[in-house]
Amino acid sequence: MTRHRIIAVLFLTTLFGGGVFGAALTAEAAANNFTVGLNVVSDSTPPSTPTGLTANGISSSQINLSWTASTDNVAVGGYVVRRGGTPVATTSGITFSDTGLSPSTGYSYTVQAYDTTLNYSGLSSVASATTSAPSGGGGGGGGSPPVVSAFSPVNGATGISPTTTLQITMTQLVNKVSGNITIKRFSDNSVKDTIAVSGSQVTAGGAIVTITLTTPLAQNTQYYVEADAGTFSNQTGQNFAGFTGNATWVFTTADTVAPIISGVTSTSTYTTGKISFTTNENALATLEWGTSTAYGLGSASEVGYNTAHAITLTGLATNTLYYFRITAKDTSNNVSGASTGNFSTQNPPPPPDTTPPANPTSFAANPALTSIALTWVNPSDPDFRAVRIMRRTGGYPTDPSDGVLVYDGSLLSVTDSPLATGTRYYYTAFARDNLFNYSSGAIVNAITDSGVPPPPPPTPTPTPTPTPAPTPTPSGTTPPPATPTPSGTTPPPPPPIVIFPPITSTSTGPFVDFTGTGTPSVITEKLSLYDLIFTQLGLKEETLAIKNGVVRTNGDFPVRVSLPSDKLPDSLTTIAISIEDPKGKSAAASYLLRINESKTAFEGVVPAFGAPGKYAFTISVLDHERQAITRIPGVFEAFIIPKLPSVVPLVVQQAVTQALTSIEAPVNNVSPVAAPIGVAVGASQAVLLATNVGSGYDLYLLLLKLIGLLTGLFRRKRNEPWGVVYDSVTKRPLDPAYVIAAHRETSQSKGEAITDLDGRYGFFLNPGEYVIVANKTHYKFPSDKLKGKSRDELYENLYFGDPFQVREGGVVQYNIPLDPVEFDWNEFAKNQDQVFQIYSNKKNVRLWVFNTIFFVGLIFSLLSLILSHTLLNFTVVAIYAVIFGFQVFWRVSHKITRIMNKTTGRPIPFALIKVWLPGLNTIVKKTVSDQTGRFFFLIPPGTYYVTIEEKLPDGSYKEVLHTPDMELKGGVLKQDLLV
Amino acid sequence: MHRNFTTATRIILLPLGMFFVCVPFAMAYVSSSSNYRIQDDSINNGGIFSSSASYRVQDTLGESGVGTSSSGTYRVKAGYQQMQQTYLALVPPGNISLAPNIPQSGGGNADGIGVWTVVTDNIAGYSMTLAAQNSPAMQSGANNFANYITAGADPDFSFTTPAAASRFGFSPEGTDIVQRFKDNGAACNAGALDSVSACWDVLSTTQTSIARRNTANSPAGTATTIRFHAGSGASNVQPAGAYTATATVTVLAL
Repeated sequence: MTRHRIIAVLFLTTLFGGGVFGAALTAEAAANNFTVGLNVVSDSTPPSTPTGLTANGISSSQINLSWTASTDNVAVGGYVVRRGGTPVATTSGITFSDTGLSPSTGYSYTVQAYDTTLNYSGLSSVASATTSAPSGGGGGGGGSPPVVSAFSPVNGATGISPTTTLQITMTQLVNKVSGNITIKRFSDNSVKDTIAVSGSQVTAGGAIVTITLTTPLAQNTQYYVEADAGTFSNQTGQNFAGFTGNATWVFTTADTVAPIISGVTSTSTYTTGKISFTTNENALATLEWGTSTAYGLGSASEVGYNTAHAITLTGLATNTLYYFRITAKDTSNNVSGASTGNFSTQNPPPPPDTTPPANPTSFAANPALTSIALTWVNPSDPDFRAVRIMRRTGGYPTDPSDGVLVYDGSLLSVTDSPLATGTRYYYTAFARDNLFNYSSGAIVNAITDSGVPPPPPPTPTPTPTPTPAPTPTPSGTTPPPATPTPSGTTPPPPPPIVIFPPITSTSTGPFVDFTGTGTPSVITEKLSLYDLIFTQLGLKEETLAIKNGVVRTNGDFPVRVSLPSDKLPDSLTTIAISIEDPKGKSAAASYLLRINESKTAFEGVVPAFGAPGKYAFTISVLDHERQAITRIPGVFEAFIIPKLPSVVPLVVQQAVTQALTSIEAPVNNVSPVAAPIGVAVGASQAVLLATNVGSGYDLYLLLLKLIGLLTGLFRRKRNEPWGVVYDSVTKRPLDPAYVIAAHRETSQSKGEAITDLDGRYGFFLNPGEYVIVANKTHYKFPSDKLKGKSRDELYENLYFGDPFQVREGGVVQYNIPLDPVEFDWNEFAKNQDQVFQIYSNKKNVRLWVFNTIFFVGLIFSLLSLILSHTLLNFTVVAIYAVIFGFQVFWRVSHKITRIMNKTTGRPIPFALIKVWLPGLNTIVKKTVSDQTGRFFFLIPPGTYYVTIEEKLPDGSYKEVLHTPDMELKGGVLKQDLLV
Repeated sequence: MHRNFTTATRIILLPLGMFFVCVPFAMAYVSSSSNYRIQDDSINNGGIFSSSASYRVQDTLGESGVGTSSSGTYRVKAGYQQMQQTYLALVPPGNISLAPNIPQSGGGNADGIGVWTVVTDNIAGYSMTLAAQNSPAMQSGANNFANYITAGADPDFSFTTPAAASRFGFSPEGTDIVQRFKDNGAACNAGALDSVSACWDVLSTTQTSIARRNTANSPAGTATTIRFHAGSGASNVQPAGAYTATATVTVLAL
């Protein structure tokens, strides 16, 4: 930034160049000293002598003179005109009309200049002229006075320049006499300019009078001109009559000034925007708008001229930034400069809450002789306001206004009294919120004691409908007074709802007095569990799947049960769902399904179960016309999502819960991939929310770190079970190179190999100290270029001829660089033909790219941690450290393969291993296992089969294994051979 | 090795390279538009520039004791961003000569103008003042032109010189002139016009505010013209000589 500022200062300094001298170029102030000079002269120098004097006889009484101006060291004060040597006039101009002369008379003139201190110049040269004869005239009018022949601008003209010169063309030659030319504004007759004809602003050249304005006229204004009588006279001295009023000579000046827009304000709703502004003159405004400064969405133009403007835009998108541009055009089509601005539409108001709270739970009735104690648990909805309990004797109240009000309030128990003895009472408890949305209702019934021994219990029915027994344990809260309305607040009147007929049944379940003797309709009989819709409420509403009569649901949230109206007969119907508690039927609860507002379905909400388990339920459909009851059994299987620690942000908890819920309870009618996608989306939301990604740049940094982490898993090169001889300069593998591993002390060769096309070699060495030598023509071993390094860009575990120790026996995995000393045609041709099978330039590039990304990501992660000590940043760096450490200390080493007896588990020593080429049955490799059964071979990648011949005590060999064809991708065997 | 890269490898490497190299630098640009310019990126946010006719505060969130304070005798800037340098340049016209010469007797008038251009990127704008070094301003040895005397508190719409006296004054013109020098076509310190050769004031040794602007005008700048006028009355005898008025135009970043 500092560099930018320096550049800006240099630019501006260059721009202004040396002209800034004298100014202080500082950050806060600049000062400039200067002088104002003036000379006052003691003027004794006369002006120069006028030259070019000419005299013209204009008429019988007038001669016009003109000459060239004089100069003076101070200023010319004027000229003295002399006729025949006698001063006749002084003038400040350089023309003069000598009038009142005699006809047909010759006159001689000279002119003399003087300055402001009255120093006089010499006389000009003489100029002579003769007046014309009396009757000749110059087009004079004889005995009539002069009159106007034409005006310029013409009467009624418009669009006249405010600096115009006015001209009057007379019918005769005229001279200036005295009086004024007056210019007045038409609108209020105010005087704009008064010009004396005797002054220099009025000239009379022949018959044309030219008037120069004192100051420019106002724009777009109508003026009229008046001339006093006697301002001009013809050659015979007859005066011009003049003209007055605003009808003789009227014109309008041009309007070239555009209107000015000011006071622009904008207001908006969520779909409209109103832009108000004013203009300093009447104008038509045009408004363009759009979501960018291209203003491409539309334009609106006014149709009437005004100074106060307001344009309203409708149909706008909500919560959107709009840009607008205003221009205004006046009646003269002068267009103002554009005035721009912007406004944002507002967020739309949230939809009204029409969701009722969940039903009260554990609604139980405990009867006495003349009273019934009711207990319940209020729902946990945040907007829960009160429970409203209604009572009827013939059946359950079906809406909050059906029956007798027992209680309306937020307590947890009430005792309903006085009641008749031995009478069954039906109660429905509706929960409501602040907006009087009522739940479908929890139901319970009970019979008050009759004072006689109770009858034997009813015979159980085969249906699984639970019997809601009265709750034996009343609420721990103190019951309110034995009045139907213990609440201190007066409940508002509920909305009118259609009253259903009473429900009675002699069967078990919530409808114990309903006769249920009729035959259900065909439509009702066809009802099944799959006609119902179970919706998981909570963070997000999702329709739950029904599988084998089981509905899996999140036990932390309620479930809405819906039965579409079109699946029910037209007759009056009452529907309830009864749910058993796995702990016992005594804890069963029943809830009504009420018709919804749109009359499309019967709906009820089962409160959250709160604990995992299987909850059997029965949906009872009562057909009041047919006196029939239909029961639909099913099971809720509730699961509970483990709670995340409170330190996890709420939004993350919700995202995780939503994702886990999607897994636990697959929703209906969606592809099987929906759940994984949901999990992925949920996890992405969790990551984005936890990382507080607020911009594209944040996202870029996060991706950078994550990509860096992932690439870290691939950036390290595997240690392959072979060594490579390669060119230390080009890094290309070398073949054929002859590699010998010799025992250090005895120098006895313990392994020899010729590298394959990919420069690979390998042999198994027993414990001991060895030295390896690699030879290839045109190359030098050991490499001097890489001497001392343990790794280079592509290879690790480099070898330079030093002795090494083999402790437990294993495959040599050294990579041996060789320095090129001469040009090698073989290597050149091999590179050209791309004959490598194992070596891959792409792999090397990939390795380089992964390394780069890994370390760039590591650097960014460290910087992020330094700048912000968040848990996420710490975790990312920790994962980097784990990956890095893991790859440093962990090597994918080749497992030493053995030949084992699969029954005894013992190795088979000194067995002969032959590797065959299938089809051709040609041996491509032979080797022998050591005393512990270990062996190693390295062949070109391909498909082979292997035979094992065990060495018998007599020294002969017997084939004990013939493997099927095997694809050896690396040209090595990676698992033990079991015989 | 480089020549062996395949096309596919280049396709992979090019966007990867751009992703890792270009994006961070592109993000580091300072925001700007035709309407505003942020001089420096700042992590701190919440600081505001605020101003009114009577005060001006440069505030920075999260710090105490910061901002700009000023009085007639001092000016203090403290706190983060307060030491931000603003660019302020004054392009002067050089010395000014009034013309024509005025005769010793018989009276006369002389005029001259100078144009001062101020360029600043200071978002609070600038103020311009004018002051003479001497009183009367226009002097020649022991002789002088009397300072202009206004008829009232406001400048005179027209320059008037008594017949038996001399006067010297100035009149500023330009878009940034203060209200005192604006006119309605007949009087000054009224209306919003900037009539030519109108609103004449005395060039005194006290700093007279002539122009003020509350926004930046970089890079175009704003020109203020100061017109000087000397008049000698018809019956006045003004001693001959080379008269000089030395004055200073001072521009302050607000």
